[in-house]
Amino acid sequence: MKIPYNEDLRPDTGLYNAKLGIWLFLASEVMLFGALFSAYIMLRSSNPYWFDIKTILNVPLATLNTALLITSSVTMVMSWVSLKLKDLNKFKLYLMLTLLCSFGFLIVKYFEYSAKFAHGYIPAYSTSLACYFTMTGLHVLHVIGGIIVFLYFIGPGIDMWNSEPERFTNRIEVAGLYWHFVDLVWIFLFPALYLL
Amino acid sequence: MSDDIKHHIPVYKNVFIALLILTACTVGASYIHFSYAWIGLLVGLLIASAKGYLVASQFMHLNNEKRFIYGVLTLTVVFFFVLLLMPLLWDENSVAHGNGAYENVSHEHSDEGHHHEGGH
Repeated sequence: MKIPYNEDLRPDTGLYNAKLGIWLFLASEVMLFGALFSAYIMLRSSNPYWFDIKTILNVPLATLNTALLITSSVTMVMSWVSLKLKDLNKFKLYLMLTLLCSFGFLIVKYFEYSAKFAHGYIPAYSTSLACYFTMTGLHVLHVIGGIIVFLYFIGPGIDMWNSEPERFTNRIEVAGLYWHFVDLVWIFLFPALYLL
Repeated sequence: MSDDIKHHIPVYKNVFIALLILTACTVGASYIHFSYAWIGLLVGLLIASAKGYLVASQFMHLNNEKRFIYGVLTLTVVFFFVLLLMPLLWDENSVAHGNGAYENVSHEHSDEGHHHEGGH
C-alpha cells in the first residue's frame, strides 16, 4: 500500500508528510532549548556569585565552530539545490562537505571540553559551567544526530534516488531543515555563553 | 522549476558572506566596553537575531512558506515567551520575598569568604 502525501502535497496543509512532521518536531525543539535558555537567564540574573565563564572559554575556537556550522548550513542547502537540479554528483560533494564541517565542529568541541576537564572545570565546579556543559552538550548531541542522518543519506539511503527521486529530495530538504535549526541554536548559544 | 532554484544560488552565497561578517561583528562587539552592560547585551542579541533571521528566512525558506507552518510557529513563539517569562514569576515569588535558595548560598559564601561561586 502506498502511503499518501509522501511526495504530493496535502490539499489542506499544502505540505508533504515529512515536512509537516519536521516542523512539529522543530517546534518541540524550540521549547526544549527555550527551557534551557530560560533557566540560564534565571540562574544568571538572580545569582550574585555567578562565576564568569567568559574568562575560561576559548572564543577563537568557538568562532571557528560558528564558521564551520554556517558553512555546513550553506553546503546542506546546496546539496538540496543539486538534487532539484538532478545533479547527484554535486549532491554527494555538498553532503560530504557538510559532513566534514560537522566532524570539524565535533573535533573542535572535543579539544574545548578536554581543556576544561584538564583544568578541573567540570559541570560540578559552578552553576555557570553546569549551564555551559548542559546547553553545549545537548547541542553536540544534535550535531551527532545530524551526522548519523547524513551518513545514512550518503550511504544506503541514497538508493532511493533511483526509485523515488522526488521523495529522496524531500528527505534531504527535511534533513536540511533540522540542520539549519541546529545552526540557529548555535547562533544564539555562541554569544550567550561565550561573549555576553 | 530548475530556473527558480538557480535564482536562489547567488542568494545563498550572499547570505553565507553576510553570516560570516555578522559573526565577526558579534566577536568584535564583545571586545567593546560599553558604558552600560545592557547595551552590549542588546547589541549581541540584535546581531544574533539578524543572523537567525537570515538562516530562518533563506535557508529554511520561512520567507515563503505555507500558512500552516506559520500557524505552528506562531503558537511556538507564544509558548516560548511564556517560558521566558516564567522565571520572572519564580524570581518574584522566591528571591524577592526572601525564600530564595541563593540566600543560603550567600550565607555559605560569606562564611567561607568566597567572592564568587565555583570550586570544589
